[in-house]
Amino acid sequence: MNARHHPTDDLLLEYGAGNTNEAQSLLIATHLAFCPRCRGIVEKAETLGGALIDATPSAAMSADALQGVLDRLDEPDDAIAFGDATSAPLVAGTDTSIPRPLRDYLAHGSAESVSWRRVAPGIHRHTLAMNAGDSASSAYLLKLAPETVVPHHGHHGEEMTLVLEGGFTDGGKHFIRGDVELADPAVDHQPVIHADGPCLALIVTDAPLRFSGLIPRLLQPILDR
Amino acid sequence: MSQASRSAEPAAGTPDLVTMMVAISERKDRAAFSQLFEHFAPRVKAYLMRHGANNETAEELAQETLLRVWRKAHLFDPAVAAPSTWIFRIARNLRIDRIRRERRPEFDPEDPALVREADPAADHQIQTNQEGARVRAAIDLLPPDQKKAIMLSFFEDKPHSEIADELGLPLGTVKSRIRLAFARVRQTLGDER
Ligand SMILES: [Zn+2]
Repeated sequence: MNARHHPTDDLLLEYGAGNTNEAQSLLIATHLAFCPRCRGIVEKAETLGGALIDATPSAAMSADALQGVLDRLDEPDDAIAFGDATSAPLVAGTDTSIPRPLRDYLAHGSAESVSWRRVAPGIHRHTLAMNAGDSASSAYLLKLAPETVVPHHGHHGEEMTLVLEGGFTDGGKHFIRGDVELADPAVDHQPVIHADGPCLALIVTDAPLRFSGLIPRLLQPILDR
Repeated sequence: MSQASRSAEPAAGTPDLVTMMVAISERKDRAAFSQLFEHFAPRVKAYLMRHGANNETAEELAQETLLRVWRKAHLFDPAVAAPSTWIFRIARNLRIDRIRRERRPEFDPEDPALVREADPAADHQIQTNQEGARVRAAIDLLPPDQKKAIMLSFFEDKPHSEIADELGLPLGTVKSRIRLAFARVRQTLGDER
């Protein structure tokens, strides 16, 4: 089934333009693997990017630039850049229910083989290492037991949650595999994990969560770590 | 799928980039590559300079972009993307990799986990032969303030809030201009959503 909850069109355009940071891009790209609709929108953003490059005033290349490149055409192709979408062979234990590129961020390509830390009853967390160390945003996985009620929390910044497995209900809406929940900074929300199984989700935040209430405030330092 | 508006012709004298790309892709045609280089390298260089690269770096990365076009040419499919779209992706990713020094996560079209469109044709609704020309025409018809906002969002490595400061406009105004411009382009490309 196709996803029903998507990142905003604004964000898809920014991703297509290449303006989102690594953590945001990771979540969006993983959603794209689930969502032909959003792939279509990003493709249109890229078509726009191509047309803008085509229409932009050009900057003169040096006189020998073309010859320099022609001389290199037969060189072997050394570098395969990250994100080239070349299909690397799958290593044993790879969990193909988790799409690339997220899979590439997990040791052995599986959510089972990464280190999980219990941060609250029914809640385990695994922080993903971003290449860009100075990035303002962070990405982590949460594994949540069935029927867990995630404490009330608001946000200083933007937060996006992508469901990878299982699902939850928040504010009367259901979020399942492939869906993205966008947290409204103005609204406290309280997701309740569906009863039919554990939920695995990728969360990207611009700023640390801000919990309300006493118990959640005790949780805060743990979740921020 | 709306395909009715597909009528714009490339302007007379515009080199046929699709023909060039196909010649490179199918026959490793060096003459076609030279033409493609003359067209795109200066534009890619300008794009990179707008993103803060100095002359030397922009020159080097523009060459690198076109070299990658040559090496990946066998992957080019004129039914899937216009040459300009394809080259934009390569230039953008190289910019993120080399100028911003970040990773650029992307989905893998060959991923077994990929959810495909129920109607396979809809996954590639864009017929690409003349889409570049049609989108350029649509950009030219945009109100100047929308055109400026969308240019800035592709050519400056800045969040919308900074673009808003630069233009001396409220953030909401900048966002809505960008949104309107993109909606217009999507319409041109047959997006009925
Ligand atoms: Zn979507």
